[in-house]
Amino acid sequence: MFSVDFLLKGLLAPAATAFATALVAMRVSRGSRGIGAIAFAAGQALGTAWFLYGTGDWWPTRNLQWVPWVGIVAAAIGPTAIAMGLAVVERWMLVILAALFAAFVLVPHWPDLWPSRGVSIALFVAVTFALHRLTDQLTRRTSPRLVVSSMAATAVTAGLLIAATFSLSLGEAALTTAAALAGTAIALVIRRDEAAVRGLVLPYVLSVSGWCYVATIEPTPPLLPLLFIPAASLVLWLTAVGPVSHWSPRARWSISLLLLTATLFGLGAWAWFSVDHQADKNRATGWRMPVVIDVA
Amino acid sequence: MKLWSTIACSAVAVLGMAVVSVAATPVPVAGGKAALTPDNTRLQFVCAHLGDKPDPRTGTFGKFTGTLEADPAAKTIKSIALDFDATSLNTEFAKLTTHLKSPDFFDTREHPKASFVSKKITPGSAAGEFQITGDLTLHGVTKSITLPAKATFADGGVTVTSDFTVDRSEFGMKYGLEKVDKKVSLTVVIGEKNKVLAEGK
Repeated sequence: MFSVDFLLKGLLAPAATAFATALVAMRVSRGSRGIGAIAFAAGQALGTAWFLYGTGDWWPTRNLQWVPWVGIVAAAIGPTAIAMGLAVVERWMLVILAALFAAFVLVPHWPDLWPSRGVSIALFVAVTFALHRLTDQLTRRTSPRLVVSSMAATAVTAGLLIAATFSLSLGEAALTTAAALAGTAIALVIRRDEAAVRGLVLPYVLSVSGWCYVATIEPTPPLLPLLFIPAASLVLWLTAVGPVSHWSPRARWSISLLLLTATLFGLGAWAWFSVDHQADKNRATGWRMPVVIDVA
Repeated sequence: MKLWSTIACSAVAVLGMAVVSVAATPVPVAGGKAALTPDNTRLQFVCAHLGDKPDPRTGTFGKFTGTLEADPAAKTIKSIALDFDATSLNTEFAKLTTHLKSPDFFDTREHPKASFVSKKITPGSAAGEFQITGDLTLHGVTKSITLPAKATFADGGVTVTSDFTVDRSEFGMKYGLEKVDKKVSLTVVIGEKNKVLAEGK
């Protein structure tokens, strides 16, 4: 399915770059909220450069080409958006501004877009703001290692589903983002750093939401299950509050991983079978095997 | 998907051996012009994989309009123009249809329209044969192509058949060139109802 070239340059190289950048940055400035975001941006930039090298299309010309740049811009804003020196309103404004930028470049101008561009932009900003707030809060309610692992798993699932259900090339581009997130996540799991995880939340939310949004609206009919993928990490709230939150860390980890895996598998199956379901519907409403003429 | 691929291959093989043929019905030419619609014109493309198992896949466009200018008395074709809605592309597999419409191939969101406009038509070596040269626009790229056509005039109408190939990479569709043949076979039959392989859009 994926070429060796892609596995090496599109996945391994961004992941290794992000991983190495995070480890080096942690040696220089441990506890800095920008470490995760910088590492992610480095991996994402390298992966994007590989995709665009030789195409001559460095400047995005359509909405889906903006997603990697949205991630890099969000990586620049993300650490500031959790700075303690800012008032809560100022931090929220930064997140909203980043989400607005993402929405403006990702929501297309199609005449048949539903909901309309204005409504879609408002919804994108509202949903990604809520996702950012809930994921950021989660890093303080449960293990940041668990949260960053769930972010990487969610991004990988999103990329694989986009490749499997819609477009391999778009899925590969999304997997490059996932690889940069995974490389960063591995470094942050090895060396626990809550501030770095919190700084990574905004680029994670906008990148993964961006890929899922463009892959949802491109096909006709839209692949709605993909829209729910970015929210998968929020299933960890079930173990972060309530009775399970008092259990031992090992039990919470186990249950959290089970819940996350079940959620991602469930959403994946929904996305996969929603395309198959269209085929079933077509058969029921007139699908027939073609009469093929002139085929050698 | 494997199961459907197997079923499709079997069906293609059986149908290929049977050589199903459908007689074309002349399209009326009024005032030197014939209107081309899916009711009287079939547009079909076939693309195969590279390697030992080509697994040819057939697709059509469900929505298009066009005009053929002809002189039935002189038995000549003067011009042909077709505008087709790329979003109406359909195949027998929903996943394949979705993939073909994606940025990997036709990118129908970005390039919803495609067209062919003839520029020069010259008679071929035999009666009723023509060489049609024109501009084919696919995926936002316009290229000049020359295709052979065979026309039959009867009952004040005309039927035209043309089989030709285009190189999809020349039209900017460069996805999977190592896996999917860059040569795409196209069939146009004027005088035959188009086939919808599945719900188009």
